[in-house]
Amino acid sequence: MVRAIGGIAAIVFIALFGIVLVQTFNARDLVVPTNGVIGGGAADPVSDNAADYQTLANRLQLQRWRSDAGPAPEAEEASGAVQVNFRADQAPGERVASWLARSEEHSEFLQPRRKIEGHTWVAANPVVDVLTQPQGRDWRAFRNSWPVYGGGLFIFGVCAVLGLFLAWRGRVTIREGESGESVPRFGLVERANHWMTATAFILLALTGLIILYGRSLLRPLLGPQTFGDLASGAAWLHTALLVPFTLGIVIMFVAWIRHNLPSRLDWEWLKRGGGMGRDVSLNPPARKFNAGQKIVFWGVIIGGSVLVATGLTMMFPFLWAGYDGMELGQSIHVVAAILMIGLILGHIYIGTLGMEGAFPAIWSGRVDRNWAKEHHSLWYEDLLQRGRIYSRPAVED
Amino acid sequence: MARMKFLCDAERCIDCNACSVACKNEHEVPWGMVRRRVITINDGEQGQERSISIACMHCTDAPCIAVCPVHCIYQNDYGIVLHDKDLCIGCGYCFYACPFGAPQFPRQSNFGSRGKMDKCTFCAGGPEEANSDAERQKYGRNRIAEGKLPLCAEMCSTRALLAGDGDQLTEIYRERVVKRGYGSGAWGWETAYYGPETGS
Repeated sequence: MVRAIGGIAAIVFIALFGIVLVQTFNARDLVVPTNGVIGGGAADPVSDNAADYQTLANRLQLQRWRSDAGPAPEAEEASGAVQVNFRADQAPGERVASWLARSEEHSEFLQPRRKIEGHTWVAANPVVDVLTQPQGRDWRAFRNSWPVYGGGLFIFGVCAVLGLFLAWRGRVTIREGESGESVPRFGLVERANHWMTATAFILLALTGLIILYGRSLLRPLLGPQTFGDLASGAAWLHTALLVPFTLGIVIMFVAWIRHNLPSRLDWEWLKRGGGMGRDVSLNPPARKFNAGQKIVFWGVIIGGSVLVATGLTMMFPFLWAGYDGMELGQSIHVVAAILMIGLILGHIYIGTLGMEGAFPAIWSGRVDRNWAKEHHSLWYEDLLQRGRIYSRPAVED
Repeated sequence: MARMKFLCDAERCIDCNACSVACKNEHEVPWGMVRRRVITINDGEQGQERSISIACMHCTDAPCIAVCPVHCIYQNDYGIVLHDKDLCIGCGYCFYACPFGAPQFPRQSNFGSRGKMDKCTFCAGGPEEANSDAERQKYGRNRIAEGKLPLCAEMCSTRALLAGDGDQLTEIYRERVVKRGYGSGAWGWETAYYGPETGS
């Protein structure tokens, strides 16, 4: 039953992966004139105003060179009338193509693209001293391609792999069955902190995904105004959740670091695939945290720190970063976030659906004795030795 | 092809900042925000110093429109880039993408809530009805609807700043360069109007 669900889910996610893949190769990120916010009431229908354009063009003739003496009142007036070629019937794509097509004609006075900084008197903000920063276009090209399509492929890819794994492996069961007796695993503070961080992360992920994908996925469904309100709320919530998330990873770091230092056991555990394969008869020995859990721990600590650092950079724009810093910060933030979503999807899978007996560890704080013995043998023995729990004398299987 | 652009003749700009002031006054731009500013580069270097008036250049394939998470920015058939303040969430992405530092925010930083973005509208207002109270309050005056060109350019005392149809601008500029025999070019045009295709 569970394996069938895994199979169906895998098919769905592989299909979604395929759709994103097709989109990736068909993507064309060219801005064309729309004469109004897409989906909103067309508010500036200037396309049929060829006559207005002519008026504006004639007005510009007043700026022409009149004589060597400059625009003196006695100088000869510019003729005023000029014929402009404004075609009202042009399709948006054609219009942009025609705009882009003139570069050779103007090449004599085009300057190479480069960053130019100077000084201005009209504002105190140092950011406005920048005249041009063409790398803004590079950031846009990155922002609108790699994270968007790569993120879709990665997230659906991870889901598909998990579905396939479930279909192939089924739910990892407790080999000896439930003993009915539990041993303490996580204390109240650890669990409360886990759920605070988890809630914060899930909400952060959802609101972040709204910012990244909402424009293309939700906006057409909700309309510009409703989506605008949603995105506004998402941006606010995303910012506010900084506090519980940061607090969560700090407490997590302090509480669990001593269990998560890498050791030789982890290498052994990883070589044996954590005993997750079908034919593996025994789980590799592990202390309180096995190598898989350590990967999640360090992923959360490192990924979370990167996200907090880059997020703070965006929260205080241009305080310690310049244009390059802001652009780089946003790029790192989105890439780290997507990687971390993938990691957490795997974590959620193995903690709930993927493994019998794992979830109570972080919910009630107590795990079944047999689960502890199978998955964390060294930790279990340690508990026995330290007298935290007592061995069951009779039942052996 | 017919399209509105700005061109600043750096040989004529005298850094008087009248364009900035006129813009602020015409559109009643709030304190702390400048839609147009004059930037002096190579300050004090003999023969190298230039002043250039810069605002939104109304780019072709505008990066601000491409990155806006709520798609509140748009371009019209004249090439003018406008936006809808009712939808803006103040995320600042347009500012990171803009090659000219054009977008402005009422607050520099307040835990992400920076208010609605504001920028040069080429004196063309916003999506509301032309020169209605709503449009005037949010975006300032709509001179384009009145058949007039942007005020900054029309009142420039040295006619350094030009606004209008791109073909005419280049014609006027060429005429000047031929007559006087020099010119440092159209600042920002390569970036604004002929930037390489950014499609993925």
